[in-house]
Amino acid sequence: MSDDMLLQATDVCKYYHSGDSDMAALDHVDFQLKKGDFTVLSGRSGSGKTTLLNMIGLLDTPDVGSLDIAGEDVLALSAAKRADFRLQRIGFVFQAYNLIRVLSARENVAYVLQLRGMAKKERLDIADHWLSEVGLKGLEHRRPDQLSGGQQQRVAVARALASQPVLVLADEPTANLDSQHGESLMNLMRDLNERCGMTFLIASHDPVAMAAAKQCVHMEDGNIVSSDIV
Amino acid sequence: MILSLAWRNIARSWQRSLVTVAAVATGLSALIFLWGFNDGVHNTMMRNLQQVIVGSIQIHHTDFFKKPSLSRHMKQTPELMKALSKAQHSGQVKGLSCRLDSFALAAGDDVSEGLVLLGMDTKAEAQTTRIAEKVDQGRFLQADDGAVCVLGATAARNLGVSLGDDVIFLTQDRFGALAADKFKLIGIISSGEMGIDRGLAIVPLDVLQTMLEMQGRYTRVVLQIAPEHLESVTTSLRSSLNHKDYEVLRWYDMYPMMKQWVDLENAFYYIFLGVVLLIVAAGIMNTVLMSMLERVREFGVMMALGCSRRVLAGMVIVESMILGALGVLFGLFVGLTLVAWFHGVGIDLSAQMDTVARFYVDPIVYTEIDANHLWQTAGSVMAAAIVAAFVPIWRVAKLQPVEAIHHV
Amino acid sequence: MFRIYMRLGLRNLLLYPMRTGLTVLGLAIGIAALTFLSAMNDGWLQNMKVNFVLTQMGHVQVHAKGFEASRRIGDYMHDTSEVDKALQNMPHIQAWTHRIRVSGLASAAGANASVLVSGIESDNEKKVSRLYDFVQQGKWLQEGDKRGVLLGDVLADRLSVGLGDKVVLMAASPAGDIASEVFRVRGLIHSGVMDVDNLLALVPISMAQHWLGLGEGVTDVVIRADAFTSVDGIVNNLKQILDSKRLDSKQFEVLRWQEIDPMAEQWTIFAGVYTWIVLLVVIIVVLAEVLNTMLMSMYDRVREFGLMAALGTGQKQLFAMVVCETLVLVAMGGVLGFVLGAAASLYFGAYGLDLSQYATAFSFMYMSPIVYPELTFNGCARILIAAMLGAVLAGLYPAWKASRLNPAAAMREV
Repeated sequence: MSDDMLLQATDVCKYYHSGDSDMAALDHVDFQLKKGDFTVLSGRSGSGKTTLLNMIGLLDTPDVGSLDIAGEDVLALSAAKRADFRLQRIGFVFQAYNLIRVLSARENVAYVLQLRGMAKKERLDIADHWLSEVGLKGLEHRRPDQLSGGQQQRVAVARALASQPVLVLADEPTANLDSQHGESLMNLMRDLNERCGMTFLIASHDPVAMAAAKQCVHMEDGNIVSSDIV
Repeated sequence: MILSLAWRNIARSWQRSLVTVAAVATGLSALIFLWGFNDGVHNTMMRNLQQVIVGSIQIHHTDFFKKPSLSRHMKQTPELMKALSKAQHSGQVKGLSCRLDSFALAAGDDVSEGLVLLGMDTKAEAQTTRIAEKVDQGRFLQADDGAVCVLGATAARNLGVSLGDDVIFLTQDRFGALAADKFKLIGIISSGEMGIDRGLAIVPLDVLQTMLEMQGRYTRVVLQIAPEHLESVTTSLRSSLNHKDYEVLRWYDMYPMMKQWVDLENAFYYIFLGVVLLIVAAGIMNTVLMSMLERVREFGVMMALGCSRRVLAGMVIVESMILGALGVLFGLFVGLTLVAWFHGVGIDLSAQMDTVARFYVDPIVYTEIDANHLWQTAGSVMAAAIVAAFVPIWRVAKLQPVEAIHHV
Repeated sequence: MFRIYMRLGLRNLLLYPMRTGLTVLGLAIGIAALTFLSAMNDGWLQNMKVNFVLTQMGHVQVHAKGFEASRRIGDYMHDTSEVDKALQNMPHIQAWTHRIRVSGLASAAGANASVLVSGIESDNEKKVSRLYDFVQQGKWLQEGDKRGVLLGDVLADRLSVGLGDKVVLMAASPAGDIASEVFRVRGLIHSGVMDVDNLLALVPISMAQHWLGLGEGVTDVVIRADAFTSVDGIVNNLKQILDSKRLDSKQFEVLRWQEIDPMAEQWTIFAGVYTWIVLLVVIIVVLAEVLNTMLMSMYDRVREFGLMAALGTGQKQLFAMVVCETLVLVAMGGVLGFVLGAAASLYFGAYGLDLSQYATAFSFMYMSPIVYPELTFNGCARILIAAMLGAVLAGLYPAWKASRLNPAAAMREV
């Protein structure tokens, strides 16, 4: 694996049981990411993009195949080690219900840092810094239900970045937003990718998301069918 | 339609419904078990009191119980015989025996003790009380025994006498003359009950009648009756016996503390019944309310489609009733199983309480439950389930369709 | 980390005020009822213990060796000067007196009844027992009134005698002769305790000594301690002194109140078992409700747990979080319930709770029918610890379920 290679998935398969037959959600997929990539996984729902994202995010384990992230064979890790790996190395942005309902924007961002054992003042400073980076200065103390959908997603992005992960995974981040907010969210992430060199992998079938991509990987029926540098 | 809708809603969030049913069932079975323990202890106490020696009903000459004196005695008058045979023919009297008793000073070697000297008709007594079973040294009286006696264990110890020794009883006969007779000790009773063990001497009825110049005379008629017939037999006896000559006393007229004690503890249990009911009702209300809040939108759609508030309210109440009924069924099953199981094997508390026999309590508690306690408890839990539906119903009744549809 | 769990727990609970409120209410009612019951139980058991000891028995009694078992008047103490001397300077002793106890027969105008004759020192007896307070008609025994007798009211009724009437008491002397004496009724005693009201006949000790031929001898030295906690110290102290004074230490027996009549202690134990069973059942019911609420709250938040797990929250941390939330919930209900229960206990502790309709049962148990609940540290600690332990138990299952969630599957839940 070359120096700038961040992620190497080889021959990954995942089957789901439906009735008598097994259905392949991922069918012998090979996939790589390099440091600094900003890749969009596209495809219809059921094409396997979320499954692949979950594998890479260590939320799920493949039935067959190998997976290396930042030089580590992550499939060999125990459940507790996987949780720790997620905490230290990976940032997540989900489609919806991204935030912990009862915590303010600032506390949501600081939560991951707290899990890492960071001191209170430091983590609140970092949270405020990233909230202002995503354009939410002044809204730090709002609870999720006091924020718009777009603002909630921005908080999620701030949280994903605050822990300085090697890889940020986003699953349909724009699905619940109108196109204008979706575009501005994608531009924000692209901007952060360029300024901070953070690697992004985004699963989305939203044209707005694909338009922002550096690289577009298209999936169908559990296979990668095309991979284009935009 | 309402029923099937309600059932589907319950089945849809089956986990939550299950948890609620389980909570109701836990509450009810816990209460049933508590009653089982309580009734077990109480019924044993009351049964023991009646069966060991007191009997269920005693008939005396009026005022004898308060002021015992040989002058207040009874003879086998036609009035008494008629009343007794009427009671016996009703089939509700398990046993009947006549007794004669008086106070006496018992003297052993160099000690004396004040005792109750009790004359018993051995044959009749065997059908009436279980006093003969409490003899743990020697034997109980038999027919034609002559001048023999059975003493309580403490009395025998205090007098320093053992089986085969002579005990002298000193008392006054019907005419006030001093009477003293020698009786051979043939049995010693250990009942655990202080009054019996410490203060009782039992001798054959005929011997005592002769000694006290009381031939053909008795001080007490003792009847053993099942609890369910106690009141009716008492009423019938009281109506056929003249108040001026006879008093008919139930066991708790004579020894009210035990009945009061039982009533007091039952009162406590009713308080706990209330407490548990409130807790169970809060639980059901929680579930129904939660499931309703989740479905506010759905309710709005249904109302927009023309479903009346009354139907919606009906649905909520039926849901609550189904949850309650399932909980009550499971609770009855679990609770009764527990009571039946411990009725068989008993709860051994002898390590915690060696000798509470004074209170007629057995150290091994065999649970049992009175039917009215059971139905009261199950009924109240069910009622609590229905009452618990009222807050959610009130919310449904206030619902505006447009608002509800926009509810997220 | 613990603080954020607490905060998360509290805020999650506040998110559904109705649900949390109902659960807290249920909990509070349960805990309040338990606290009050426990206080009531402690109150009347304490009342029973005090009445039991002070009615007649005293905290400690000294007899001639073997008297308690034999109750033979022959086993009397010829000389109690050693005991009196030992008691003179002993701390924690409020008063002591001498008695002669013998069982006998009373007769009056054709009726007779068995009696417990008690020869007492009229002045000292007042300081030791409450018999003096129980005189209902007539007067306490006067010094010099040799033939005065006080009878239990039920006993007097049985004998059909009243003030001024004659009663003949019969008892066996140590020599074995039946001796009888004529007394005049000076007063009637009503204590509510059956053994006293039905059996007791109080006569002057000097008369009893003369009548039964005991010389200066007595059967009991009855000691009233300043508190129940001093009893063991007094007994040990007394035994030591009596042992050191004479080689012939086998002469006396020193008995605590529990040894003289185990009834009060047995009843305390019996009531204790009962209380434990009620405690257990109520706690189980309450915790089933807590479990109900926590499971519902957990099912509602499957997505959120999935999210937290995805963000790197470990299984142990998720587990601890749910347990913390349960603890917060139970603490809210527990504190509220405890405050309510304690307030009720203190109120009735001050003003009393009138249960006179069960008066006979109470007086049989040496208890006053006006119950003054008493909050004791043990009683409260028992309930609070049981509730907290139970809370942890009720939290374990939802916590275990939450920590076992597969994050990917949980996130898919709607």
